[in-house]
Amino acid sequence: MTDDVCRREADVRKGGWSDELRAHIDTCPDCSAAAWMVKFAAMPDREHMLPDPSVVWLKAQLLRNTAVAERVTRPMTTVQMSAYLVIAACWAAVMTWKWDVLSRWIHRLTPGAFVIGTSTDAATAQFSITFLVALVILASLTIMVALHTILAEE
Amino acid sequence: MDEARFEAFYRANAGSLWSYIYRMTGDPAIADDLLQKSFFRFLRANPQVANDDHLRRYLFRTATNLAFDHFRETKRERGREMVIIEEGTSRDTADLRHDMMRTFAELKPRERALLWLAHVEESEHVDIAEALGVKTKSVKVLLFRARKRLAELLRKKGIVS
Repeated sequence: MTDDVCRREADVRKGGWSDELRAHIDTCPDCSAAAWMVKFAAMPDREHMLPDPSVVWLKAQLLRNTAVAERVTRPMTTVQMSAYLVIAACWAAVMTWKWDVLSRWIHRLTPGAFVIGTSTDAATAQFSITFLVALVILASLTIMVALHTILAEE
Repeated sequence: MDEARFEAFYRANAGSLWSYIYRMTGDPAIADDLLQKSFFRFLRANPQVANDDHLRRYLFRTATNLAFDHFRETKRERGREMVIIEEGTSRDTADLRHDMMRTFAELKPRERALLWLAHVEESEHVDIAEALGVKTKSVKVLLFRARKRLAELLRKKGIVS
């Protein structure tokens, strides 16, 4: 099938067509396609200004540096995301653990109770030391991770 | 590759690569974009080959892949006017170029790449196969079909009898 390509195609590609070759091109589909490609390739399009090589080089270096920076910071980003997930899970666990006490304490949070100071008394009476320590640790960890994110972005 | 060698390599190959991408995509802005991307990828890969011919083949393969990616991404937009002629081109030249570009754009991207690489770049079948990600044995058949399709198009448009 592919051996049917006209033998004169090579001459057509070379250019400088004789009258006889032109007549052949008009009748031969292979050579007409080849001739058209020759004309198409010769069509001027080089008035177009290409980017300067030094600009391309510089951009490539910048892109390479950005890619390196992304690669270096990827583990840090993963650790950060994991820390957020762990802290969120810890908060959920702590809330579930003492939900009954917490919901009772929240219902007692009224402006009146704040004025006479019973809300804090009730809280200290109902929350165990372990729970309060866990709350303080979790809050500190949350602030630390948040500060780390903010400072890293800056 | 150091900057001096890159500059020499760029000056030797950027023009023909731009023409190739432009004839493939029909848009000078996209050709600019893909040309730069091709060189960025080329520099990032930093192929350790001393021979400039190998580097050139690598560059054309990268550009072909980028052009095919571009066609896949813009598949939905197909059917819109594809050929964009640059400003500053004379009317007759622009008309001729427009007609030729439109004719070429009617071929499939792979057919365009095949015909350009074979007829203009005069690449070997093995290099075309590498650039297009096909088997070397298939190039002959694919090229035959592409040529046949172009001949049919030219006949349909009355460009040849």
